[in-house]
This record gives sequence, C-alpha cells and structure tokens, in this order.
Amino acid sequence: MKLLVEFRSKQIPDCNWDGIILPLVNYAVLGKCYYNLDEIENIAKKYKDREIFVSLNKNFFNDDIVKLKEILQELDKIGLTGIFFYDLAVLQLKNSLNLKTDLVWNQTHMVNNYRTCDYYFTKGVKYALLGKEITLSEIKEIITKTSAKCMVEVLSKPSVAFSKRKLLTNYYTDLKKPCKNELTVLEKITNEKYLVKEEKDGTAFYKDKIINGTSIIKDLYEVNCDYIIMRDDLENEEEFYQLINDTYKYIDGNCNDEEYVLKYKKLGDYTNFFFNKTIYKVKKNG
Amino acid sequence: MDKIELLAPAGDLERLKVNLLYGADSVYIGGENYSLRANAINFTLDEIKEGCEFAHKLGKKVFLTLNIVFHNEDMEDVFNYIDKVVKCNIDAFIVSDAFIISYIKKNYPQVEVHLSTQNSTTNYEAVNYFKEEGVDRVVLAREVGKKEIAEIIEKTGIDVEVFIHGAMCTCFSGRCALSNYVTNRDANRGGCAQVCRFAFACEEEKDFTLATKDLNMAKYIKDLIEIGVKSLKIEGRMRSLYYLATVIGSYRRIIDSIYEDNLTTEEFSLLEERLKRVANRETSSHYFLREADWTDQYYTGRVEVSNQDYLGLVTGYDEENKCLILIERNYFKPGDKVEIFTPKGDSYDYVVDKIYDEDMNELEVARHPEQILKLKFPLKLDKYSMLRLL
Repeated sequence: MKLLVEFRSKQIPDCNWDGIILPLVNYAVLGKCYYNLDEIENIAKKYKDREIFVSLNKNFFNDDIVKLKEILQELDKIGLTGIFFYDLAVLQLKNSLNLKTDLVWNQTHMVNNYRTCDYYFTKGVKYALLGKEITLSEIKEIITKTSAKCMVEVLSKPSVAFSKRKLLTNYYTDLKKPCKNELTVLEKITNEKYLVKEEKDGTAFYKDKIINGTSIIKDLYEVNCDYIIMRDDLENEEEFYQLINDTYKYIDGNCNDEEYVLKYKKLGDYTNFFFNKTIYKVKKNG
Repeated sequence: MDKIELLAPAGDLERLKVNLLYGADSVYIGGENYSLRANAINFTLDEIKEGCEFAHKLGKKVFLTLNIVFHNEDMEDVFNYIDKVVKCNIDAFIVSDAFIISYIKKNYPQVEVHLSTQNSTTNYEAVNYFKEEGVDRVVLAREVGKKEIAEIIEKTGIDVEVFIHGAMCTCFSGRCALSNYVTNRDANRGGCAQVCRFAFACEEEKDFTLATKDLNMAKYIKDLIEIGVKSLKIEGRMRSLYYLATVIGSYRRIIDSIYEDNLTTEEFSLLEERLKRVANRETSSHYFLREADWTDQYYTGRVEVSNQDYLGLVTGYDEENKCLILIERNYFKPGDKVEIFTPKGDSYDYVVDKIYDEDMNELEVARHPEQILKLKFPLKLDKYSMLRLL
C-alpha cells in the first residue's frame, strides 16, 4: 500500500511519501495549491523515484477542449504516473490521442461500486479514487472485487460540493460588501461548520472537520488497498509532515504499530462515512 | 423536420395521464427502485406497464429514471429490475452510471438510453464518449449555454435534451453531497434534502444562502428549436396536477404556435403570466445567454408563495342537472371570474353563479378543499379539466 499526499504549499517537504498529487492550474478544482506545467515537470524530474499524479478534475466546457488536448499531450511527455479526471472528455481524449499516461477515475461522489470501477478499468482507466460517502465495508468490498487500483482518502477536510456559480461573489454583491474568497458557515440544526471557498472556476464546499482515518489504515492494508491519500489540511504543517513520516513507517511495518493509531487519536474521532451509512428510501420491488 | 419533444415529469399514474392529456409528448417517471426521487410515490411495475400502455395508445413515450449513483448493494437486483421494466415496454432509461449504460445497451439494444443530467455533461468530447458507448440522447448539464448547446449538437449529432422549466440545483448535478453531510441523506441515491435551500449562519449580518431562482425558458423556446435541441424537459416529478397542467399546457401552446408561426405578443404574455402565477419562486434563464450571477440567486429567504388560483378539478358531468362535478381545491364564491380549461386546450371564461354540493344543496361559498361540488355549465368537459381564478 502506497501513501499519496497533497501538500498545501509548493515547498515540498523532505519527508517520506510514495506519491504526490499536483493540481494543474486552470484544469483542476479543489486543490490546496495549483502548479503550472513547468513546475510539474521540475517536480517529476526531482522526484524520479516517486509517483507523480496530476489532477485535471474540473468540469470542462467546449471552449476548454482545444487547450485540454494540448495540455494532455504535454503532460504525456512528462512520464506521469497518472492523471485524476472528473470529466469524461479526458478519457475520450486519452483514447483518441493514444496517450500513454494512466488515468484515475475521480468523479468525486460517484465512485461507489466495484462494477463501475471495473467498467472504467476495461476502458483503460487504471486507478479509481473511491468516493468519501461510502462505508469502510463498501470500500473493502470494492477493493477486493475490482481490477482497478483503488485509492482511499483517509485524511482531509472532505470536499462536499462544487458549483459553477460564484457563490461568495454573489452573496457579497447582495450584501453590498467587498467579496471574500473564503467564508466559514454554520449549519444551524447540526451546529456543524463548513468552509465555502471561491475559486476561478466556481465555488467549493468543504466540511470544516478533519476526517481521521488513521484507525482504518490497517483494515485497508489487510485487503490490499493500493493507495491511501492524505491531504494537508491540519492546522499545523509540521504536524502534517510528522504524520506523513509516521504513516509511511506504519505501512512499512505492515501496520502493526499500535502506538501509531493511539498517537493519532489526537486528530479527532471524525471518521466521516466509514462507519456511518447514509440513508435514502429505496423499497424493494416485489 | 420532427417537432421538438415536450417531456414532462410524472410522480404517479395520474400525473402521467394529466401530462400526456395536456400535451406532453413524453413523460419521465421513477420506479420504486434506483430513482433520484426516492421519496416520491413512484411507480410499481404494474403502474409502469399501465403508464406505457396509456402513453403508447396516444402515440407517446415513457422514460424511466435509473439515475442513482450505484453502490455495491444496488447492483445486486438491478439487472433483474431492468429486465422487468423492459417487459413493461418502457421506451427509454435515463441513466448516469456508465456501467449500467453499457449493460442496457448490450442486453436490450431495442431500448433507448438517455444520459442523465446527473452526469453533468458540459462538452462535446464527453458527449462523444457516451455516444460511442451507445447512448441515444444526452441530457446536458444545466450549466451549459445556448452557444455550447448548439456546438455540441453540431459536433456530435446526438439527440440533446435540455431543462426548460423548474427548480435548479445550485451545484453541478452529481457533484454535490451537501445532503449527505448535513442530513445524512444520500443526495445521489434519491434522498436529497435540498440543503442548498438552507440558510447558514456566518460572521456577516445576514445568513449565507445559496438557493437559486427557478428556471423559466419560455422566451427561448424558439432559440432551442432553431439550434436543433431534440427535447425540452420540465422539472418536478412531485409537482401538483394543476402545476403540471398549467406548465405543460402553456409550453404546448408556445411550441405549437412557434411551428405554426402564429404566436402573438398578447398570447405569449398571457402564457408567460400563467407560468409566473403557478410558480412559487422567482425565475430566470440562468446560464442560457450568460454566466449565472447574483441576479439568479434567491436571496429573499424561504418566502415561497402558495398559489391560490387553482379552484377545482373536474371529475365528471351531471347530465340531469347540467352541472360540472368537481373536487374543490381552493376557496371561491359566487361572482368570482374563473377560467375553465381542458386537456385539449379549450378555455372558457365563466362567472361563478350558484355553487352546489354533490346532493345539489346550494352553498354560500366553496370553503372546504376536497369537497365535491357542482357548478351549472352547459357542456360536458373532459376529465382533468380544471378551474383557475382569473
């Protein structure tokens, strides 16, 4: 099992990780920071022994397509490990342009079953970043039943929604006040906080709480999960780097170090949907 | 040239019939499983079959939504369910999951597959992907504008369906799990709690809200016809019969009169006013001609107007007393000026004179919704004719 990380700053720290996620400026959303092509190329050259993934996870419109083709061709020359995508235009172009870089199915809230992971695998999509709204039990079933290499996000402030609308610009225009790019809002009934961040391509919503999946890493390891992902959302960057080093060591030791799990209980007990199944109403048809 | 399709939402068998009688060419429905409106009444297999038979006799079509985002457990019975629905003679499935699309096209090539808007398809390359997978029609994302719709049609040649009326999602469809996080209800499996209509506290003096106005494309139907759109979709499987009759009837008239080239400014204004009055929120055309902005947001709080225009639903005719039999929906009284309109598009101005109960006892006013009433009227009208206040 490999450890994949996304850092919040371009100063990549000297710590142990197997792979890195680099959101490409103008082609990705929900990034902690964005990298241009030159920067990605330099990182790929510097970290030849590590896996380099680039995120192109935005929804593309017709006017983006010509440049998207060009950028995919440029990225293909770099020798990346993979490209995260949301929009099926990326898969279509990979096939029509005969690109060799592997893809990661990253349709944020939709990667929820093994059959569809397998479907994309047969279409040339090697990896799947599983949805964050499914249970650990569902995750394990997907990992054991699909041929795709699975990735599971175990540490982050989870992204909850994305809108094309400039919702903070709109809100502050209505308020007749200067716009802010970030706003913390409180859902009144549950008393839970959410972060609203406006980006160039729209508005992102995040839960303002860290998913602490350190306690489930062993479960994932035991079912041969290919990757876990940690995103740099802790208050303290140094603490995140320490966590990365410790997690790397923990995996290297076959996830047998119980001290690791005890140590990182300090990150809180929010485990998102790992042990909490969402509800809906689907009756069985007779 | 084929006339553009008017596609209506039907939450149950009665709505299906009303939609088709009022001029929809096709309806989309949800089954008891796998639909994004898990909390609507939805159709049993027998009702799907009956709905298809009713529609097909009129030369019309029924599409079934199968557009949840599937979890492992949902896959257990879905193949069996698809087989049963196909045997009900459904005309098309509306699907978002790529595996399910490929499964249906492989096993039931005679049935159309329409790509759900849940997939938020926004460009011609993504459309080309699904076209090569055998998708017959794409329901484009609501974020796509006129120029982009035209370009997608031109570059792919696929049948394109667009939403023209009803509520809007604030976020990209499918790219929103607000409901999951805030209410634990799975938005992408039919449990959406419409959290985008909630108000959130924040550091500013006014709550943060993100709700959008509803969509109303009445002014742009001609543009949509001209750029080659195949189908015009109305949102709202859980809407009332009166809402559906008014909206479908109005768009039917707009579409027909565009093809017949006889839509006057006066008539369009009347139809527009009807659409406005039946709506409970302000409307906008959102992304059609420009990027959506703050004017497309709904910042007036949850003030949703309850419409009192709908006075009654005609259920029969009392030949002996020459009276329409109706079920009351809202208060009315002698002297009120009303319009009686029929599924065929006929309309009668009428001044309420005497109001009777079902035993022909005269009433002072109609004040009990659901009460069976009678009104003197010289003509027998079709079932599902309605009375609205003028």
